[in-house]
Amino acid sequence: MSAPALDVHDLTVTMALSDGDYPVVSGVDLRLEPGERLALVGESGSGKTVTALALLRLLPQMAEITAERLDVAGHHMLEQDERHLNALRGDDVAMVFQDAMASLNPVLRVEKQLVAPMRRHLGLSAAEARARALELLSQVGIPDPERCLRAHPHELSGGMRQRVMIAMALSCRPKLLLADEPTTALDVTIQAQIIQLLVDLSDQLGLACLLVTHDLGVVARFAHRVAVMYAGRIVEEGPVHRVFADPRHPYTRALLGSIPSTKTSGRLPQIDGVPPGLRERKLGCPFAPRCPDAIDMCRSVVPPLVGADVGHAAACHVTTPAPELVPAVRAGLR
Amino acid sequence: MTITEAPPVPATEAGALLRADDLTQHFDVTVRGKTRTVKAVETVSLELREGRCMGLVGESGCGKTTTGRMIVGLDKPTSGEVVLDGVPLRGAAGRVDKKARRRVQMIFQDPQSSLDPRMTAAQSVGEPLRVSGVSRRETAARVTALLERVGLDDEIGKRMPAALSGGQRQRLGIARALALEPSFIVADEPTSALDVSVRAQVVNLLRDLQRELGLGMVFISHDLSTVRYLCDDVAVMYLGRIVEQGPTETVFGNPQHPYTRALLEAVLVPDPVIEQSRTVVPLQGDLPTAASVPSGCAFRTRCPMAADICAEERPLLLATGDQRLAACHFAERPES
Repeated sequence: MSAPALDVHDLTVTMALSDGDYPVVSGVDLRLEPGERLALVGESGSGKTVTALALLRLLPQMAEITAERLDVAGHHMLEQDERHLNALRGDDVAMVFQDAMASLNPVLRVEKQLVAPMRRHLGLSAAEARARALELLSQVGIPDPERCLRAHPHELSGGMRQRVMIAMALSCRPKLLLADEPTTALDVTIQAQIIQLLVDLSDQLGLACLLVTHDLGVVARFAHRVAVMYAGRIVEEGPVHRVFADPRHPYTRALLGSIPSTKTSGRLPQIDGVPPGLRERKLGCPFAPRCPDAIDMCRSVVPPLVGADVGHAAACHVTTPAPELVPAVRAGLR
Repeated sequence: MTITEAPPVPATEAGALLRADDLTQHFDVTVRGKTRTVKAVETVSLELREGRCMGLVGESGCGKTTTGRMIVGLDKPTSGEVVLDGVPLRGAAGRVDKKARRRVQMIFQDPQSSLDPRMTAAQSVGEPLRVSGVSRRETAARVTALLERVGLDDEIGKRMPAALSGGQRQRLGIARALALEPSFIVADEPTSALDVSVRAQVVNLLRDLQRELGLGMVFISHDLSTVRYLCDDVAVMYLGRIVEQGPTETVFGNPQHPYTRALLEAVLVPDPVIEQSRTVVPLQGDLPTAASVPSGCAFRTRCPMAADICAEERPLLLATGDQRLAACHFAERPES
């Protein structure tokens, strides 16, 4: 059996701000097999992007990463020095960012940007790299690859730029692809194209994908499994069919319920309040202040993620109490 | 036989009426000494009653925001006019009538950039009142009431926009738009800058306000699920023109224009059972720019059913016999 594409245990990221240290990501576990697609869902500030960046160790100095295990494509990321990390980034693991315009160099033609990583990581000659670049561009559905190679980023549409980014990410045959909101800046019809492209590529290449998004429609289309983040913690994780059909965590339930569908009538079920800011995270479950089902214990004890052994886990005292806490929960509910 | 473009579906109910007649907006853009005309909006006609909500949907660059800005009088149309209860919004000199302007207000997409960062929340909400000559004391009282109406604590009024969350800022934007008691509101993507869990709060607020105050609302959005939930009628725009328009359930339930069909098809619903079993054939290609609109039907370059006639003749926006208008050569037409 091949090694998992991603194996993370107890990942914590702490930011050193001027007024103290604050945890941005707390106790995150993630595992991805080759060819598997996982969606990391959450709102802004939930820590989903920081989690993805931590996997590549791309966070600024002020962020301290600790983890029991942080293995990406079989490499222990925490033990690598900067030189080895640079060899891994873009090679075994690649990333597609939200804003393709900001991630491409505006003054260089696509050719230069696409060829450079292949020459460096794969040691290809200029001619070989160019031939592979053309192949990649047609693989990601660009109609006229020759013309695209000659273009500057501003001459391409948003959808085309994102395709170039994906081609660049795939250029060194990574084992794991991280995509951070790759379709948020795009129109719906283009979004559908790009998501379909990622699904097809992952199927064809047996590529493991971690998609960071806030769009539950995208998750439903894209993912095999989904992990829901709230205030730096994973609150629910499982196969996408099970999580959507039978959400265990009140936050997941409320989120799914708040999206209008053709069946919605009357007022939309809403979640009152806002997610807690970095400095407002108190004891206990971070969702407790907004949770309709919260009991006293929710405000003092962080609920552990329960059910990972059966493939569908949630962190909630009320819906999925940890066995050792059951008596206390029963007492609280009474 | 001559075919003329059909007028908008006549509304029969009472209440104030806002009409947009053949709104057109052209911008001259000069690049390296060459001037081109960008046709942002072409002959858009809408009719909106008080108490009704009309969705305006389409991809970025289709002219939906420009249309909204012309409706509230922020931009002057190249031709065409906005008529409020039979009186043009702009007088003979082309200036917006002050009284009319108060009756049509706008909620902007990005509450971060549409609020003055150096004004407190209360000052921002009170500004339109002060400008229109309401006394300080009266303004203060009305600001408190407005803040309460949009679900904000009075204490929030003392804060600067930077100290507010995105949802709170959007509520402020709504309170400010309501300050002059308008009959009509143009809401330009009011939820797209907000977090998912906060979106439903703002959608509910807009829905409540629209119903309770009997507002006529133009809801500009690319979120078709929310439009379907919120709007009585919908107009679908593509490259500056309305391609399909009518009651929301008629249009979304049985779309007649291939672009409407493609837009609906592209919406990913939060249900993996549906999503992972259906095959979506995404619309091919990119949106042409408004500076180089294809001849004939603007959609033909991406349309799965385009034929020769589509390149030669622009399809007119015609009635389909079910209170709907569609601009496609292949749309169903009533038996004549």
